[in-house]
Amino acid sequence: MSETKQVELTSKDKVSFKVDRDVILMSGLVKDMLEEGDEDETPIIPIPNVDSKPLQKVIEYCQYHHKEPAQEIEKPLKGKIEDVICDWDKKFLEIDQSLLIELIMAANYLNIKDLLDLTCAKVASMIKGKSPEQIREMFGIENDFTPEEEAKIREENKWCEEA
Amino acid sequence: MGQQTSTETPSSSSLNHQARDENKIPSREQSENLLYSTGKSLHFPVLELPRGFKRKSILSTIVSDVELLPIGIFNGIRRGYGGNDEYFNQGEEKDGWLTNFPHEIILHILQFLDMESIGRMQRVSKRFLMYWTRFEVLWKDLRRKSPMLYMFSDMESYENVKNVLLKRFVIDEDVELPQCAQYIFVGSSGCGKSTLIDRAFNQLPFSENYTPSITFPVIDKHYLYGSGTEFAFKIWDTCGNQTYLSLFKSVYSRANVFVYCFDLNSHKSFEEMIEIYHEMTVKDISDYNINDRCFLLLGLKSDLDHQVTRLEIYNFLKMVEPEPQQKTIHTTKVQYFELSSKEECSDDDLLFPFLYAVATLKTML
Repeated sequence: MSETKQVELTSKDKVSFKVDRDVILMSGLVKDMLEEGDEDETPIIPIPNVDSKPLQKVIEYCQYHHKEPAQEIEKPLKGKIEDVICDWDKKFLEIDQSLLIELIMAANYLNIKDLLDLTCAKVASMIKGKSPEQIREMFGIENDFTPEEEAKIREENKWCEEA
Repeated sequence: MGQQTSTETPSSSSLNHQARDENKIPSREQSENLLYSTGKSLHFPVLELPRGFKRKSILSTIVSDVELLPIGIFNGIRRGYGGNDEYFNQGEEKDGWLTNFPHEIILHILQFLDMESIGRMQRVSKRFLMYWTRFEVLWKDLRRKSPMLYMFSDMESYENVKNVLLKRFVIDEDVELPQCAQYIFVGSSGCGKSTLIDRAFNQLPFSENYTPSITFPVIDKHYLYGSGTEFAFKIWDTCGNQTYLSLFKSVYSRANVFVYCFDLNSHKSFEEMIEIYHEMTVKDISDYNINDRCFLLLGLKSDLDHQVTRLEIYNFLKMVEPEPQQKTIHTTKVQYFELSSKEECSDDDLLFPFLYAVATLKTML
C-alpha cells in the first residue's frame, strides 16, 4: 500500500495513460471517483470526453503542477497573460488554437481549476484590447446586428469604446 | 424552479458521439444526483459519467449566481441552449469555436477581462450582448467602490448602470414584472419623504412649505419609463413621528421595498432613522436580503450641506448588509442613493432608485 499507486486513464480514442495517483488527484473528477471507487491495485478510469492529445497535455500539466501549485491568475487581467504566469506555463501554452479549445473542454470536464483558469485567461488575453471587428475576425463570429442596432449599442456604450 | 430537463446540449452530444457506450451512461438515479450536485439546476454539458460519482462544479461561483437570474435565461440554460430563446439558438453551427463553448466557459473567460473589454464585446454579436445584459456576475467592477454606488456626483458610473438596467428591461419584455412593488417610506419628521414622493410620483413641483404628514397616504401608480416599460407602484408614506410606528407594522409585512430616508443636512434625522430601523428590524423584519425584499437608503436634500459623513452612512449600510463585496448589482438588495427633490434632479433621476428596486426584485421571479 505504501508504494506509489498508479491510475490508468483511457482517453476517448482508447489510448491508455498510466499516471501516479497523487498527480492525477489534481483533477476533481478523478478525485471524486477514486474516493468512491474500490481498492483496485491500478484502477482504470475512462475519460470518454477527452482525446489522447489533450489528455497527454493535461497529464503533463498535472505532473508539473501537483507539487508546485500555480499562482492564482488575477481577475481581471491587467496586462498580457504572459506577464503573470511562470515560464513553464508560458511554454505550455505554446499550442495551436484547436488544442487550446480541447484543453479548455478537458480542464472543465476533468475539473482542474488551475488549468481551466490558465487556458481561459489565455483566451481572455487574446480578446483583450481588440476591437469588436477584430474579435469577430479572430474567432470567426458572424455579425448578426443590423447597422442600426450596432450604432445604437455603440452609442449607449461610449464609455467602453476607447480601447 | 420547476422540473429539470436532462437533455444533452448539442455540443456535448457531438463531442460524446463516438465514445458512447451503454455502460457509461449514468442511470436515472445518477443523472438526478448529478443534476442535484452541480447545484441550482444548471446542468453541465457533460452527461456520460463513469460509474457512480458526484460531480462538483468547478465553476460553482458563477453557477451559483445563475439562480438569481431571471427565469428566461434560466430555462435557456436548463434546456441546454435549445428551446425558444433566440439568443441561445444563434450561432450554434455557423460561428467559430469561441461561441461553441458552453456558457459557463465563456463566462469564465469573460471574467478575466476588464469592464471595458466586456462592454465592447457587446458589439461583437447578439450572443455577447446577451451575456452582458443578462449575466450580472460580469458587472463586478461596477460594484467595486462601496454600497454607495449611485451618488450623483459620480455621474459616469451612474449613467453606465442606468443603461445596463434599462436595457435589461427592454430585452426581457416577456418576463413579467412583480405585479406590484410595494414601497414603504420611513424616516424622521421633516426629512423630505413626502416631498420626494410628490415630486417623483405625483410630478408636483418642489415646494419649500412643510406640512407634516398625519395620515397614512397610499399612492397607486402606473408609471411608464422612457423605454415604454410599465411599472406598478404602491407607495405607503408614513409620518415621521415615532409615536405612530406601531401603526405601520401591518404594512411592513406587505411591503417589499423598504425605503429609509434621512436628511443629509441633519445628523439628528440620521440618528432617528437608525432608531426606527432598529425598532422595526428587531420585531418585524428578520432579513432584508431574503429574495423578495429590497432595502433602499435615501439621503435626501443632497443640495444642502452634508452633516452626515459618508463613513457613517457606509457603516450603517454595512450593518444592514454585512458582506456587500460578494454581491453583484442585482443581487445586492441594499443600496444607497443621494437625492435632492429640488430642481437639480430630473424626474427620471428621482425615479431611478425605485426602478432599481424593481430590477432587483425582478431577478427573483
